[in-house]
Amino acid sequence: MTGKLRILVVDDEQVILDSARKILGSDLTVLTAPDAEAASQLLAAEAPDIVISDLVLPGASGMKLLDNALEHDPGLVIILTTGFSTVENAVAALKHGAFDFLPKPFTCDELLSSVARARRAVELRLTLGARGPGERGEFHLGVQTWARPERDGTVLLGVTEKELRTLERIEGVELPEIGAELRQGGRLVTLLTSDGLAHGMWSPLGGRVLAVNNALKDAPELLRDASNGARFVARIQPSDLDGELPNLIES
Amino acid sequence: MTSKISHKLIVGVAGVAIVIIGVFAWVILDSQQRLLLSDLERSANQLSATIKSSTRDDMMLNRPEAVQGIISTIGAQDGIEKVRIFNKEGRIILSTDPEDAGKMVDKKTEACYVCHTADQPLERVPVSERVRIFKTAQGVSTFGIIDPIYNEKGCWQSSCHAHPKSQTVLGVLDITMSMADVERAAREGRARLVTFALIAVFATGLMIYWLVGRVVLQPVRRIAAVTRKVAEGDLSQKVDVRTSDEIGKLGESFNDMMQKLADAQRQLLQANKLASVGRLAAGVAHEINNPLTGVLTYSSFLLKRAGKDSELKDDLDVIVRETKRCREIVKGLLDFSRQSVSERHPVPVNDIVHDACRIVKNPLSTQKTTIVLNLGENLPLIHADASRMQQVLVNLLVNAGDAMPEEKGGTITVTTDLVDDAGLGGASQGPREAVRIRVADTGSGIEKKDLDKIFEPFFSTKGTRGNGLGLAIVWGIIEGHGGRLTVESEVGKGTTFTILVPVARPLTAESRNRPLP
Repeated sequence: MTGKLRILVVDDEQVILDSARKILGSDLTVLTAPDAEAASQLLAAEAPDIVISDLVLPGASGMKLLDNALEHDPGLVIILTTGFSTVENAVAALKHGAFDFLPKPFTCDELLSSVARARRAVELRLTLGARGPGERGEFHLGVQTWARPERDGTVLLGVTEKELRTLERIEGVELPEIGAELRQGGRLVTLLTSDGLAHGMWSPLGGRVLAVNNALKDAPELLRDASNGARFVARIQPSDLDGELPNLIES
Repeated sequence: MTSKISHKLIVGVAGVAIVIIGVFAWVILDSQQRLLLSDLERSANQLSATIKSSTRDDMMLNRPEAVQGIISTIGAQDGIEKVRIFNKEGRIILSTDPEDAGKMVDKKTEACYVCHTADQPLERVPVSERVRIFKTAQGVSTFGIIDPIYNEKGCWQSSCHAHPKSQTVLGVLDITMSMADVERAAREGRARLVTFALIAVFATGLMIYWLVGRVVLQPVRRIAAVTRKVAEGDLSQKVDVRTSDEIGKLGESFNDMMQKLADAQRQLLQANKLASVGRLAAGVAHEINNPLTGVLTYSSFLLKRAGKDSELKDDLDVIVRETKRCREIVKGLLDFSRQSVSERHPVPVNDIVHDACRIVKNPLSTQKTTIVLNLGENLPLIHADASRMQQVLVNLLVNAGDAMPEEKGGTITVTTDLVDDAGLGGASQGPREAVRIRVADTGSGIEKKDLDKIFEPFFSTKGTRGNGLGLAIVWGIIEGHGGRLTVESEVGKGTTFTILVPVARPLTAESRNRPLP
């Protein structure tokens, strides 16, 4: 066994498996499986660190594969992907314990961004299954982002501490525009890191952007500063708080 | 079927006409008869007075031959049947009919019973009771008048001493006249009236027939003809409404109904089309996203490795850019396929308008386009998915901006108000209040041939700038809200989109527990 992390890519499309091998092969040991059965065998035999799986697979759904794999190894970092990339699928995948959701078709950089964070999570041995010490009254979309309902009916949105730990130094943020409508499972913010990657973060809730944390523009690393209340990305007026909160994990 | 209506009407109207004209005729005939009779009565009375006065002297002198002469002369006149004089005992003293002389008159007969009803002769009887009408043995209607000859001083002082002083009535002058003339006149009048009545009934019938045909049957036949064509499937048929009466109203209602039916059918068609396109889009998106992933990952990977080879880099850039464009198109298709209205809440419509305007304000102002808001006050809340409704308005506003002539720009007017709309929420629920949002622009307008197609998926006049889904999505969202979207446009003048959304009704316990669609 080398020091290389092992990644299992599960997809019924050969071209996806090939491109994954090509892009990721230099840094990772890439295993591939065309269906759920082969994936299960490889999971048991090879114990990969990271799994990238399509949601729709011959044999079983990716979601089922995800559930089985996590039951077997709660520390497994799983990235789900699908051609039927709806926000509902993204949100469901993250609720089921996936580390990230990668909608098809993705670019090389998007794949690298997701895998880079996954590798970091593996290296840091981040516990994804058991919830970490999030703040009370926070609701999480997977391990990625959080939402904190305020007393005035607005909601603060931000990136979780765990997710931030998987990122290199943050050099830039692309904040949403004030007045824009966010969708749950849509893009909240894009973080540009020192390794040249752009990491899109999924929004935990939908609603209209009332304010953004403009301080992040000049000092993106403030996002990691847990000492004051400056960690938030945006304040929104939620459009359907009651309907969307059940999709999140309460800390 | 239709002729039956006219038959019924004609029979009914003719019946009524017959009754009315009959009663009318009867009244006229009756009064005519009375008039003739009273004329006869008067002339008979005069005649009787004349006979009495002209025979007075001869009676005084007791010259019966002279009296006979006079009554014979008078009795020979046309129409006079008999002139008789009988004494108190009822013996005929003188008569125009020689056979009568010396006969006794039966006091029980019609000539006498007026005075002799109680076997007690009355001495003074009014004229009207002295006349009688009877039929002779030959069956001829006869009019008779009796005139009592009263005792007077000259009679009992006369030398013949025929009458004592105590006797009041000496005898009776009885004139009978034939009523043939009167009856003929009455018959003629009756015949004229009956003829007139028949002509009137016939004419009325004809007139009714013509009127019913013109006013009822023809328009009804026109409507029936249109109905048949509609039944054959041609919903574009319209009734030619020519009058403002009930039939005209019926025609208008029919046209109105057809309009609504055509609208409903179009909406249904559109909904079906959207649903199948949605399913197609979902399938296509899933299938196409896999090969697209191959293209995108390989090309972006190559681009990353192209390094300094700028020509290769540029070419790969094009591939990556165009593949990303494909990704956006597929994403649009997927969004379109899932355009279900998720969560609906009572929301103020004007807030949604304000938010939508804020979003498009900047891009529109660079197009020199201004938005004028004309928002109704105190509008009820609408039951809507706020973000979806905002998407609708943004889409319409952006379209309106795109329709403006470049350089010149224009004005977009957004109006909100409250209207009654019977068509919303199904006819069974009756008229409902709806909030109306109108987005009117002063842009280039839409050609009539395109107007029916603009809500269809993949129809676009924007060329490469649009994917042809924008208005289809807008339509789907409004449909999902149980609302309606219509468009009016005039080339060169502008386009107006009208949205109707049902107002939110207060939540009842029942509706609160019901899962949202």
